Amino acid sequence: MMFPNLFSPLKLGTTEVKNRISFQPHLTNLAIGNLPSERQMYYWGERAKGGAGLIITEELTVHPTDMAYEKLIDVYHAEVIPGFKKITDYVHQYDAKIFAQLNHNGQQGDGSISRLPVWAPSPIPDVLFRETPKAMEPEDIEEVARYFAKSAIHVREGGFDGIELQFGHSSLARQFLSPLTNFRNDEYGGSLENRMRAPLKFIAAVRKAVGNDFTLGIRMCADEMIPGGLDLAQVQEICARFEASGLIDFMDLSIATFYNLYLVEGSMHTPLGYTIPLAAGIRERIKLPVFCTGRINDPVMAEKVLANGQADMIGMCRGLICDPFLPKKAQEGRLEDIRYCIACNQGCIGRIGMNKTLGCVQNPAVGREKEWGEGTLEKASVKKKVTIVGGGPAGMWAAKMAGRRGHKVTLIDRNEGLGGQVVTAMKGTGRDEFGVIIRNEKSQVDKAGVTVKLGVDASTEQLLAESPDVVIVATGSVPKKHPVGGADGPAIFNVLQVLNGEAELGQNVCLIDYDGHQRATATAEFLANQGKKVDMITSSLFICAELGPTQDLYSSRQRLLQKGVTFTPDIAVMEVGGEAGAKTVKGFNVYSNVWFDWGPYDSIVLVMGQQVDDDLYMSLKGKVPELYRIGDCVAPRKVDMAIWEGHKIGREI
Amino acid sequence: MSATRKILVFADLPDGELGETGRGLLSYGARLANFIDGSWGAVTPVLPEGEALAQFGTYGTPVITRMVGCESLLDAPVLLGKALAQLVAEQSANLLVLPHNDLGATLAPVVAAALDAAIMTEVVSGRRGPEGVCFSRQALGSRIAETKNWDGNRPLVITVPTRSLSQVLMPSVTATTPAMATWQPAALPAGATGTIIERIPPDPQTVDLTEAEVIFSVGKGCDPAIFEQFKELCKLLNVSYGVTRPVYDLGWTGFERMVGQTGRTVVPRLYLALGISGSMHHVGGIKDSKRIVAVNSDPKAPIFTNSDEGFVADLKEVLPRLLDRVKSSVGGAS
Repeated sequence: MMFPNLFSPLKLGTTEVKNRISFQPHLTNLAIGNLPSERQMYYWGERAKGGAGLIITEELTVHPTDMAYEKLIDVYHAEVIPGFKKITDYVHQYDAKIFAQLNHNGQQGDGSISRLPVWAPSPIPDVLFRETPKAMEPEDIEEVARYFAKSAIHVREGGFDGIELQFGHSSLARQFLSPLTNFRNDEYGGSLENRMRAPLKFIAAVRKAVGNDFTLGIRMCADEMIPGGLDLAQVQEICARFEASGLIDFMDLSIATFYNLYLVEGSMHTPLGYTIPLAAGIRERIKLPVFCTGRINDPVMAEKVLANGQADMIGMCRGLICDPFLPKKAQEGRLEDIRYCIACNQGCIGRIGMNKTLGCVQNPAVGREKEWGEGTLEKASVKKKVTIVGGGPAGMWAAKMAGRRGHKVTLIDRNEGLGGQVVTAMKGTGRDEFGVIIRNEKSQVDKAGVTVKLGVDASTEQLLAESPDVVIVATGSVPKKHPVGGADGPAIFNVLQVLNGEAELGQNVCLIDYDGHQRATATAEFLANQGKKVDMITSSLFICAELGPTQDLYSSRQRLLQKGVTFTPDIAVMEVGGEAGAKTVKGFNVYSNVWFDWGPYDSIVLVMGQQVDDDLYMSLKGKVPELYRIGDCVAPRKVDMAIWEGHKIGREI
Repeated sequence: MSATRKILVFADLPDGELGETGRGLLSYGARLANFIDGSWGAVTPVLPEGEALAQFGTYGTPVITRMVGCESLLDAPVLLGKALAQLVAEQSANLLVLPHNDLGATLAPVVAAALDAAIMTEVVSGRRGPEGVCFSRQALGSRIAETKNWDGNRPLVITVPTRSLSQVLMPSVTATTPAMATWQPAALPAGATGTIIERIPPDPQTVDLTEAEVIFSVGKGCDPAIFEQFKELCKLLNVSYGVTRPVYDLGWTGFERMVGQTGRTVVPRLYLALGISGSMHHVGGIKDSKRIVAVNSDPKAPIFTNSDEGFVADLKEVLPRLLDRVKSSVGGAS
């Protein structure tokens, strides 16, 4: 066996978990009416089916003052029990264990949903939610402890195997523990003993409610990673004291706070396994089983962490959102079949943070496991001859899905390799992992029996000569031809030309950013890394405007500024002028309407939108029995929609 | 501990040289003697000469005892072990230090059994303990560290993994001119035993990368032609080769050659990174290498900030010249 440690059982309290993979708590926004939903049952069930030994639910809110997100489950209502039972029964049939996570977010929320003041140790607003909380009175603390206990009983009644109390990055308990948020002068503030009093009350109340024969653990923030906050040494001490209470059975870990949310959910720029040293540090101090979570998306790495003795349990979150069957595939040694998470954060955190249901760029079935999960793909009743033009993500997914259903599929691309625009996008600074999207699917396309023809620029006549039953056009998009006045001629380039090394750029470059996403920022950084002076101009309020939800905003801006890139927001660019070597940019401030000129620049890089490449589609229209188009050639969007549409059409034809 | 403790360090001098293992063992012996406050000496079945002899002196070896007539027993390690046990008993040594290689790991149990001594294999660290010396070893596939205390009353045989040995000369060590002593067994041990008929050195082309001493790796800055030249270079120099994820993805090698956080984590003496940009996933798997040298055409490649030495050059130009140079040095053999 390739992974002896990863697939060895572990005892957590009274629960024996069959392997060391835990599907970690995260928001799904799949609850309906603040009650557990069928979609959640299939969502968590799919990960159980896929081989995860343990599943920990999303945070369940224990008190009415905590409604940080609209679609949380109110676990303090007994109405949750029937829904819980369905979920736990479903998960248990796959020999997986399931814990419920209980939380009160304290000041890390606002009262606009609950219409109640938020509660916290001290009236210190959270940096993200910015609402001044009510400082909790001692009886409020008692009440929250009671609600924790009440909720715990509902969890036990609901058939769960254990409980995890969220004391980590977003929790009332952490706010009590941390000097950042606890300024109390009473018995709940000041000394460490006092700061631990409320969290210990919560633990004790839950332990009393569930009894000693039920597994109970906590999730601690191993390091707040901010000056003045809790660091590893302090958390080691806190963990040792929690352990000494004798009330808990395991120690799950998270990292950071909302001051540095980009560390809580490290994006592609964050090293794999970035929290391992923290887990190892806690494990050094305590005897309880310790979890480690944070960009461990690969069983090879997970095995190393366990073999090195840095943790006892590997927490995977995005890795299993992306591929629920990662554990099973790893156990069977089918590494090439694993769909590895790339931490693009666009479908998961990028959506839930915006109150949308959880998704995944690479896994359209997230939250739709009942309809699209494992085992739902049916063989086509009529086997058709399918030709797909364009081997980007959309075309590859369409080919894979159609091929699996038994269609005779040919995938054609004019380039020498599959991947479409992803091949260029991954050349942007720090974006090379984006290419994993293609790596993951290449072997799957082959295994689906698809005939791949590369370097073929198929004409309408050639395609029709083959008399296909179905043609799917996935020819993508190209940079807009004339996005602004004067945008033709020498010294003006688009992103493709820059990243593919086809642009002869001078030293002073102006990048006009109407994108706000990685297309612009990763290109600007690519140029800055070559030692060029880059000025970015945008019509948005700020540069990186689209990168907030994916947690790339902070670090992208930091890196760009450190590399000398300048930012000019609020500008509508109306014209590019001047001669090569002395190009100028003309525009006006969208608020003041005052006109400005910038320049002279050696070169201009335009990131001003894409346009469809739909010539082939239009020329085929009415000439084949079934004609579809998917992805960017319908309307230029992002890779999630390309994959979504490819997947969908592959299932439907 | 009393000053009567005596440590013997066994050095087998393959090809007449001490090698890294031998030097590491001498350094280990000197360090142990220092904190045990005892005497130490080296024992070898081969007569050390020239450079090897000088190195014994450099590492401050006080006495070298040659096991006369035992050289032939190197091919019959069990018999050599019996002879070694006689020597240890006659010299009243308390602690025998062996390398944890094929020879040392075979000798250790034989000596320990013959002397009725305690044995501890794959010792990774030793330190002064409350009542003697604490030795630690990794157990259960490196999953736990096991520490045992040796009070010095009974002889002890230990083996040290070659990877844990450091050739660093301790500042407390002063160079000596070792006294040469000889010892001969009363009767050469004999009897039925396994005999080594051939020694096949590990092939760097097939050895597990995690064990390799020198690794050359290529990244996506190479094409099929360069990759062939690269493999030839590795073969000529007899070094192990690795690749980065993109090269593995091209299907040019098996997974066992992929170096990085999601592949092999390696700790060679020398890691040569050719055409590797140095993504953090790759660097995470090589950062503990003793020396990293990088060649890349992009002066801003992150590999350079993680290297001990870097060269900005195009592989297409460098590799053929490197290959020519190596070929002329090794006579074009391949």
